Amino acid sequence: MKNEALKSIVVLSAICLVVALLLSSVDLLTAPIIEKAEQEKASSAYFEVLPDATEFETVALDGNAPSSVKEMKKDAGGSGYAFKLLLTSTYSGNDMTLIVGISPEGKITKMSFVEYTDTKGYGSPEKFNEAFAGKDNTADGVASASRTTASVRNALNDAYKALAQYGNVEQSDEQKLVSLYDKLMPWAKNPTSTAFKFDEADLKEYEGLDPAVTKAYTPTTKVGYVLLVKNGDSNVAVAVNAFGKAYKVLDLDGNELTSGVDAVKAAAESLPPIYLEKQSTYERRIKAAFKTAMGEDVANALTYEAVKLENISSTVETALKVTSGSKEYYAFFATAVGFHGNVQVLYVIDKDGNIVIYKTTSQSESAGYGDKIGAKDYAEGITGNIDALSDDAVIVSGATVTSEAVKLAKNDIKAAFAAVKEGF
Amino acid sequence: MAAKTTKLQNLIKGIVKENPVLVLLLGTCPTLATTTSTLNALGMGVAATLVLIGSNFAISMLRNVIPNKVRIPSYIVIIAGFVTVIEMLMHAFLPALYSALGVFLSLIVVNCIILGRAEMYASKNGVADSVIDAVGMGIGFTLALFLMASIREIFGAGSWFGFEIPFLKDYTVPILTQAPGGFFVFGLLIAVVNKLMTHKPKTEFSCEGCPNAHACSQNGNHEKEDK
Repeated sequence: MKNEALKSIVVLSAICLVVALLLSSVDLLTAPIIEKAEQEKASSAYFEVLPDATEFETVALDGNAPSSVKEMKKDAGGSGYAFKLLLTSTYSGNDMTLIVGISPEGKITKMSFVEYTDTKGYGSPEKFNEAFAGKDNTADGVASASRTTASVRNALNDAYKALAQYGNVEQSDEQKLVSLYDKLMPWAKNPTSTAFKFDEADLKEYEGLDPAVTKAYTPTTKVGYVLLVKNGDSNVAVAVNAFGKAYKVLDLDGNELTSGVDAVKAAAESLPPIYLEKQSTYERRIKAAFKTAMGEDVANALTYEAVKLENISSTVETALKVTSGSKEYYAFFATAVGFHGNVQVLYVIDKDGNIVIYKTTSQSESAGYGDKIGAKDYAEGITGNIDALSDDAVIVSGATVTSEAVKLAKNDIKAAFAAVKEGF
Repeated sequence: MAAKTTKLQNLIKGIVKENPVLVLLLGTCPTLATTTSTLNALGMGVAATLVLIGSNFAISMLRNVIPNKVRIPSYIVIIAGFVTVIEMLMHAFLPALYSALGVFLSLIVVNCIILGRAEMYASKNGVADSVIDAVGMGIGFTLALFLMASIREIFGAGSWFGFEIPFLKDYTVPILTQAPGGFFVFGLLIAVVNKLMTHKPKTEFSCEGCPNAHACSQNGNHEKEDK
């Protein structure tokens, strides 16, 4: 018995050793060939995105290079630059590698995905090429693949930063603005993501807009604006909250400007606040929530008064004082970026800070996971004082991204209520 | 006791009478997955054949050395070793086919045909017979994949080996390139083979081909013959 066991161990070990030796021998033979083929594949991808290139020179990247940029090549013939970019925060969760060519004029020539692992029915290498070729990192992207678009745009932002840092191509002011979103509106993305998505607003819609405002962008959550405003001979970036208050001014290199910016802020505040545009929608949603919680008679008798919160910069998009007879409440709406799109929540809080009503007013999260935030029992679990409401009370098991969104919204509303309380 | 088969009979049995895919119903997963393209199917068939030959050779050579208690882990190590060698060689010298086959190349390790033939034949027969059996089974596997892939690609995609067939490309049946179509073609081929064969395979093959036969309550004790 003992001999049998010993024999089994010896034979199995010997087989493993021989197989290991065989594999290492084959690896010695094939590894250099595979490595050379991979380099040639990457090289051919560079020629694919810059077809007029003659010969590529590697641009040395130091420790300050943007994180997405893994390789940067310059065409000796002057047709532009090619980048190997690492895409993170993709829809599938798998990192992807993107090769992109940028012309000396700063326009994307072509994109090539080394391996496209996100959902092919919605986005595809061809669709992304179509969306970005001939444009730059401010292009709209692929509408049906918003998360992948955000990852691609994030990587492209880094490519353009690297272009300004190590190449001879100057970024346009719009391109520079894109790389400042993190400093201006960090909550305009999900905390688990590194990617932003902003849409350009049509300024022609706004009468009375100060002509110093040259460009305006809103995040997908539509909470606030990021503006390019003329300041002397150059542009500066101004962040405006949902209540129309300009709260931060940066130069296009990312340095905060605190003095001599009154005119710039006044120009930015000539844009109508976003919250005014949707006032009737907010009132309708509050009325519906009250109807469910307290009955139709109470809901029909509500009066509303907008509260302007000038000193906040967060996911909170509106605050209303709601009066029902002798009782006063404060209703806050906040919109954060969830997994599939925006998540909007409503908290109705009394003067003592007690949560009277909670409702998830808008969400499109994954069925069976994040969409639990729309369930009745989820709403019923959000009670008590807003100051004492823990993160654990709002998160959803198995839905990390959705949980981060509702957590962010809850904490922002908590801070907004604190700001309102100061005025009691 | 069955009459001893000749080497030619041993070779041919794997092609039709005991075709591993269409008669023994082994290796269904790679069959369905890689037969959307004739070229990929051929590549998979050849890769599996080479693994089968190598593993049968090695296992047959070591059949009197490997103790019964560790035969399955030993077979798996040997098979996995050959699969990895084929993978590395394909990655180096046939990168396009390597990319096309993807994860299914690695999955040859758990292909029932390989382990089944190792357990059922190579562990009980001489080296020459085992290699011939492997060649026959490999050819049968490759032919089945080729036939199935040709049908699916020609009628499903209007092409063959990637070349468009002009008069068919507007009259394709796209479902044939998808999973339901794969099962449909598979079932049809099995039906045709059943009809064409005059003899069905012996029932003892179905249990003997299974690595768990010795523990199965449906079978008697599984004794390894000493040669």
